[in-house]
Amino acid sequence: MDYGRFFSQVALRREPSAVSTLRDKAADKKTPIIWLGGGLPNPSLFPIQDATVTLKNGEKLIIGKELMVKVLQYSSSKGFPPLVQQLQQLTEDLHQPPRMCETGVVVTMGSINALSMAGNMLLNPGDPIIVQEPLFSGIISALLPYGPKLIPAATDDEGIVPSLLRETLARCGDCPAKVMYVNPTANNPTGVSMSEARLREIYDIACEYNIIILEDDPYYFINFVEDLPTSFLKLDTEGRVLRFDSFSKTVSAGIRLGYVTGPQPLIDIMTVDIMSSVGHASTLAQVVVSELLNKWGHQEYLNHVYSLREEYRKKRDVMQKAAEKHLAGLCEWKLPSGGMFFWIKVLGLEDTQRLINEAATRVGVVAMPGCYFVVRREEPCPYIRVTYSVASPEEVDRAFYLLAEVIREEKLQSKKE
Amino acid sequence: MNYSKFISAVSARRKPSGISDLQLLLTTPSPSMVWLASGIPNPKQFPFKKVSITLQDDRLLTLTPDMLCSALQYGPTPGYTPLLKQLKAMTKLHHSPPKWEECDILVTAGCQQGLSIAFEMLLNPGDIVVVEDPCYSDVLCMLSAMSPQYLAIQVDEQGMKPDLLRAELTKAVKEEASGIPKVMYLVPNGSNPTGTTMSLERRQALYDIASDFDLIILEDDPYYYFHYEQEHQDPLPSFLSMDTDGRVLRFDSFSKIVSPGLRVGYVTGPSPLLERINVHLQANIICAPMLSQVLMSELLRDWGEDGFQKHIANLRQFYRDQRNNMVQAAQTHLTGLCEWTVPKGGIFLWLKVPNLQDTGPMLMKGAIKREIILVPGKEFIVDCSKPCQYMRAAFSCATSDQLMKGMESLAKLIREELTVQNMQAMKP
Repeated sequence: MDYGRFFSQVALRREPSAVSTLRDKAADKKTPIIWLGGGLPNPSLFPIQDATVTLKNGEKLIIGKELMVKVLQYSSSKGFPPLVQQLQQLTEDLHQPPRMCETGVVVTMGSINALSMAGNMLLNPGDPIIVQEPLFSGIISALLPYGPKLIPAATDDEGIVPSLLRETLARCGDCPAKVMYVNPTANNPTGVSMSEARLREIYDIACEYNIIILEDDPYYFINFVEDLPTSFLKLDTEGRVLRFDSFSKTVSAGIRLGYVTGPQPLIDIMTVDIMSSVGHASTLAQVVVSELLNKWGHQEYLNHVYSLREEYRKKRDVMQKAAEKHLAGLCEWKLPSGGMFFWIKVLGLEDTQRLINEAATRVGVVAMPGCYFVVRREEPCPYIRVTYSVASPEEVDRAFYLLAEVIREEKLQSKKE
Repeated sequence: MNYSKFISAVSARRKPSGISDLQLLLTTPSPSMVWLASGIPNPKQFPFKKVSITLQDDRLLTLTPDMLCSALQYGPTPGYTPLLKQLKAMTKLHHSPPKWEECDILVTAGCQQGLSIAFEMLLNPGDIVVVEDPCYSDVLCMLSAMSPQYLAIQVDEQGMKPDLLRAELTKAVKEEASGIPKVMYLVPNGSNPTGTTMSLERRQALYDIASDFDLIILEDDPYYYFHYEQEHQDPLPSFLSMDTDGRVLRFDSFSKIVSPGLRVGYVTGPSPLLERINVHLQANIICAPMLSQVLMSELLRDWGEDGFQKHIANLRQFYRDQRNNMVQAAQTHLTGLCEWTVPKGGIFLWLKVPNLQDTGPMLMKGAIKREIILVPGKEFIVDCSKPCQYMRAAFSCATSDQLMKGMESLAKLIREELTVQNMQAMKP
C-alpha cells in the first residue's frame, strides 16, 4: 500500500532527532565504543539500586541491579526492546496478522496518547474522519485539536451498520474520508461488540474506499461473549489497520502503557512523534510488564485476564439486577456484552444533562450525560452512561434507587415546563 | 498579561472532556457519593500487591497500600497530589517567583513533553520563534514538525547576544509582513550543545527585551543544578525568579538529577497557559506515569530539602570532575587541533575544528570504525544546509581513561581527515 496520501502536513515534516537515532544504534551493537554522543546521565548516580514487585499470588518480580540501570536510563522511543519482542509474539498468537512481517509495534503512554498521535499523523485541518457513534468522549477530545470533520457512523446491536456507512461515504463526495475510528469490542459507551461478519463487511468497505482503520480495542479481554474475539488486525490482508491495545484495564492504568500495531511506515512516523514528545513510555512500567509476561507466559496472562473478566461479568450482572429493580419502565437498555458500562436511555426525557449534572449529583450519584459521547454535543441526547467497574453492589442498588427518584422528578419538572 | 494572542489554532481547538470536569468532584468526594462516571478499572483486578525499592544506601523503601493504589490507578492530570505539593514547595523555595500567586505547576512525562506541548500551544505554522544558534537538536526536530520561522540569534560565552536580539526583533517588528515573534526558547544553564551558562546580567538583559517585545520565554533548564564554578553557592537566578510580568514558562527535569527512565518532569508558569497545557495532557497521556510519580514523591520525601541538597552536591562534584577530566583530555590531545571554551555547567564540550570545513563526514567514519561517537555540530545549527566546524562531546558517562583514549582517537581522526582534505585541495 502507498501510505503517502494518508500523511498530514505535520507528519510529512517530522524528522527523527540525530541523537535519538544515534542512541538506538549504539544500543543495537555490542562492540566496545567510546560514547560521547547523547547526553545520558551517569548511571552510578541513580538513587535506586533494585526493586521487588510482589504479585497478589505471592510471586515476585525482581528488578536486579543490572536491569534497574536500564529502568532508570533513557530507552528506545520504540519501546523497551524485550517488551517489544514479547508484544510482537503476543500479537502473533492472538491475532495472527496476515502481514506480520510488514507490521511494526511501538509502545505508547496508553491508548489515548497513541490515538492522539495517529490523529496528528493522519489528519489535516478539514479532513473528514469517520467515527463509530456513540464513542468515548476522550477520543473526540484527542482528535478535535487537529481540526478534522468528524463524520458519525451509525451503530446498531452489532456495531457499525454497513449500509449506512456506505451511504455516509458516498456523501463525502469530493473530499473522501481517509480514516475511520472503530471501537469493536464492548464499545464505550454502548457495550456492543461487533460480530465477525460485521467486521468483515466493514473491512471490505474500508478496502473499497481506501480507508485506514484505527482499531481501538481496550476491552478486547473484557468481552463476556467470546474468549478472544476476531480483530480487524486479524483480517488485515492489505495493511490498513492500526490497532491500539492497552494495559490499563488488565494490568494497571497508572503505569500508562499501551501499544500500537500496524504498517511499519505508520509506526515509524509515530515513533518520531514519541521521540520529540514523551521520549518513550516509562521504562519502569515497561520493565514491570515485561517481567510479568516473562514470569507468566501467555497462558497464565490469559488466565489472569479471564479471571478479571469473570469479576467484571459479576459486576455487570449486579448492575443489571439493580437496573431491572429500579429503572424498569423508566429507562431502556441492552445488556452490555463486555467492558464497564451501561448505556441507558431515559424514556420521556429529551436530554439528560440537567438530570445528571444537577439532580443526580445533588443526591450523590455521579454519572455521565450521553451528549458527551456523540459528535454533536449541543444536540439533546436522552442517554446516560453508568460505570459498574468500581461501585459495590450496595452502592449500585442505592444509586439506581436514587436515580429512579430523580428521573421521576425531572420528568415532572420538564412536563411543567 | 493577556495570553489569548499567544494561543495557536490547534491549542484553541482543544476542549476539556466532560469526564475531566467530573474528575474534579473526585478531589473532594463526599462519603455518600456513588461514582458511576468515568471508566476507571477496578483496582482489585490489578495483579500487584507490593512494591519496594532499595535506595543507594541499602535502605528499603516500601510503598504503602494507599500509595500503591495511587501508583496503579489513573491519577489527576496535573500530577500526583503529594508530588505536586512538594514541587510547589521546592519551586517557591528555590525560585521565589514574583507572581507566585498567579503561577501553577503541572507534572509532565518528562520535561521534553512539556516543551513540545508548549510549542504546539504557542506556534501556528509560519509563526516566528526566537532560538539560540546553536540550539538543542531535539527541540529543532520538534519544531520542524510545526513549521515555524526561526529567528536564530548567535550566542557568545555568556549566552544569547542581547544587542543582536534587540536589533533582529526591531527589524522583525518593522517588517511586520513576515509575522511578529511571540516566543523565545532559552537554555540558561549548561546549554546543550555549547555548555554556556548565562551570566546574571545577560539574563536580566534578555528578560527586559522579552518584556519590551512581549515575548513568552520558554526556560528549558535541565542543567539548573549543574554549575561548576561557584563552589557552594546556589545556581544563578532563573528567568522564573525574575518574572514580574508573567511571561516565563519554566521546564524542570528529573532526568539528569534522578532518572530519565521514569519520565517525570514539570512545567511552572502563568495559570492561563498551564490550563491549556492541562487540557492537552488530558487528551493525550491523561496523567504522567503514576508509579514513577509516586516513587519520585517518596524519594523527595525521604531526602527532605537537606537530603536533596546533599544529593545535588554529590552530583555536582561528580560532574565537575567529569568536566575536568574531559578538559584535561582535550588539552592533552587536541591542543592545536581544536578550540573550545571550558563549560561552566552541563555535560557537554563544544569543540571547533578550525581547519576543517565540516565535522560530519569525519565523525561518521569514526562511528563506523566503532572507535568514538560524537554528535556533528550541524545537528544543532538552525540552518543545517551549511557545513559546520563544530562537534559536541558529552562527558557524563565516559571514565577518565575512556576520555583520554577517546580524545586520542579523535585527534587521530582529525589529522587523517585534514590530510584527506589537503590532498583533495591539491588536486587540479
